[in-house]
Amino acid sequence: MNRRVWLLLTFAAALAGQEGLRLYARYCAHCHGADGEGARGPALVRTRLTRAASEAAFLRIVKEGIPDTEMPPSRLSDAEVRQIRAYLMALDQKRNETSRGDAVRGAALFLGKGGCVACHIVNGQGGRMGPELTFVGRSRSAARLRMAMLEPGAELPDSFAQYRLVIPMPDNFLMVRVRTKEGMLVTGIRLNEDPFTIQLRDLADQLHSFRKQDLVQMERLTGETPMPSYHGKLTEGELDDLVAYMLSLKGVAP
Amino acid sequence: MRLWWALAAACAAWGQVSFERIVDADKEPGNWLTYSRTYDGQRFSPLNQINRQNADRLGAAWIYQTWNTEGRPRFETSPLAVDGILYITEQPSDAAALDAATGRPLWKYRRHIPPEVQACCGRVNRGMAILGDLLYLGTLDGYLVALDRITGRLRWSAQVADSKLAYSITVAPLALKAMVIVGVSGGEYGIRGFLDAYDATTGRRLWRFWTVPGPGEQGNESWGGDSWKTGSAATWATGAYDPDLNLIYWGTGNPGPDYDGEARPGDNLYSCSLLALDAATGKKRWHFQFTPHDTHDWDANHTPILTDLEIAGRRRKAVIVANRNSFFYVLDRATGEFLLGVPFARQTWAKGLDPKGRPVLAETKELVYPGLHGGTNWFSASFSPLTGLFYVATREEGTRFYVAPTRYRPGALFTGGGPAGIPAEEPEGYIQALEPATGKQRWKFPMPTPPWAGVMSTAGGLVFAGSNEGAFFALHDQTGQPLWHYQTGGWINANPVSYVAGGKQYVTVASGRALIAFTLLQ
Repeated sequence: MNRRVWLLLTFAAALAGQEGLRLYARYCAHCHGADGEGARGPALVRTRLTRAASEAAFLRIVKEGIPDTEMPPSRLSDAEVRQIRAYLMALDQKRNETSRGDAVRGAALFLGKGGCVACHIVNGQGGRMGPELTFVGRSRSAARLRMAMLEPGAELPDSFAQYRLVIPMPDNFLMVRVRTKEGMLVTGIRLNEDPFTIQLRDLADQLHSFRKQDLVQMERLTGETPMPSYHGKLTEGELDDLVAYMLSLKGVAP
Repeated sequence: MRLWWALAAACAAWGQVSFERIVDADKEPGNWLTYSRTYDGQRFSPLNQINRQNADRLGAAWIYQTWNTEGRPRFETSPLAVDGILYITEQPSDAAALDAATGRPLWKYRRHIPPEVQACCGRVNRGMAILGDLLYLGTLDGYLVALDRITGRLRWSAQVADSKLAYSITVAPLALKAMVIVGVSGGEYGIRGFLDAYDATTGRRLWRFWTVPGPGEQGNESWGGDSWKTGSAATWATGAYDPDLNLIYWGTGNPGPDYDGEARPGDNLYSCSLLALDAATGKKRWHFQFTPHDTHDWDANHTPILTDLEIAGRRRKAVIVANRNSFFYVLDRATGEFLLGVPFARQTWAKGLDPKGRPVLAETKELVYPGLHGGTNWFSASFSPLTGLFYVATREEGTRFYVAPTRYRPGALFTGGGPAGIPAEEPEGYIQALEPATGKQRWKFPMPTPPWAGVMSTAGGLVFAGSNEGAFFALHDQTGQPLWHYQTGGWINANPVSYVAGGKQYVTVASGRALIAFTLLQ
């Protein structure tokens, strides 16, 4: 190849990459992390994006958003979305997230000492109090998974309500405490709510549906979670093992 | 033979919806002849068969399912009810006539809207107008069409605006005298907004008022450089009309680009304003700008309500509106004079309003209350002449705004930024009753999420409202106490109306993909 052409192409590619970075930082980094490592939104530095493996799917998702999730539609042009994708793919080749831990040991901790399975389903087994983790390795970075174990209150799912016109199913695991006229006290995860009724799953896995007119008290426990902090309860090595296990959870093959 | 013709003419005239019938709407309380039932925008029904004593006996009389095949439904229609027939619109720009007692369709008008026709905020329609024997429908591809009310067949069609520039029509037109008033959507695409009047019989355009004044026109100096060309100020919510003053009251939307104020230095007239236009000429009598130089997408696209109020010891012909910027306003509707402005929902953007009603801005912050969807939105408020109270669905929700300068390309989104980064708290909503002369809150009814549905008050002492979760309900108009509720199972994103068919009062509202009519069960 003619050297001048090669230089020109390299320069153009570098420029395009810069533009991708600029667009990514402005539109995506808020939720997906400054380096695509994931934050409130899933990590994007992965070998394969679940919903956006092809360029066409990536374009559609970035432009239209994902209904019933916090992923909003954007107003970017096709060219801009392609630049973002090019930037991410370059990142992906540079970084391949691994954990220091051992996923097999992590699986044993998940079922045993950690007690995680009491509240989290993996591949059809486990409790229903917390979010299912069968797919968690697709959507969370090692750093976020570690933080979730140390400060669970800080890692509660956000409702992202301001992005969404309506929320057909609340998905933010909000804890609510109610007291009925008869004096019954129930604390649980909110499954749904309208102006007149509320549905909860209590900490013993019992479902409750209340009419608000029958309640004397209803308190939203924003920021609270039944999940304990594992700070001091697991060693650094054990935390690494659990993170490695969770990163390996990529769900059932479609 | 001559007698036969005279009889036929008389029958036809009797069945027709004349301008006089709409002006005198209170003489036929069982009908709903214009968007808000009356030209004053009050969305009040004088019917009282359904009332505080028996509201708990309400139940669904029938459910009509639309043929809507749009993705997530946004069914925003406000039906018209004329002598036992309902006239509704469906997404994207279809219409139907239903037997009001049974919900059975009598005809359908379907219009193909090409997929490339853009509408930022949903391929929606909010209803029709009626005059004589014609129904008037604004279409997403930028046309005003007249349909035969008996058959649903197209009688005439007039192009209002070019959909290639991302103009669209979602608003219910307003028919008055012998003309049809219609506005446009497209405020997120850098359109230049306007309000039009068309001859009701022929579809010929009678006048156009540009909501963004051109060079040499008063107000153009409020736009730096050429920014007026893409100034937006769309007109997508139905206005009100005062037959005595012969003035049309119509709100205008955000300036374009929505969030990038630096792209358009100045107050950006007449965006985010209420306009009073002479119905005969389309000339502006006065304007009031609620949010000068808006950067938060706070369209003033509301149905204003006309009523007479005692303010500071003086009887005033007033126009009242709860604005998306979270302030409730009372203006003199003859002169536009600012009489009152007080917040009705959480707001952090203004320290208050000055004596002329202009906001005194607070320090600029990223997180702003209200958010981009406002302290309220397009869905209607209501005024009950019996209680003298103003009822409105309100939203408590903030937004973190960012600016991202955008270059204008015809037909492409032109917002200059957007909402980003969400605070963790859950937004909520209320139905509120305000004393219009003071803005003082009389009561409020809480809702777990910020509503997208309008309210209607009735002579039965009830206020009807709906929630995002599908609850449709009736509140005591003096106390806000809930007296009845029904879970419809769909998002309620529309205004309720009430009518009589076969001697029975019905209340109807769109929910999900369905229109549901409620009446007293035995």
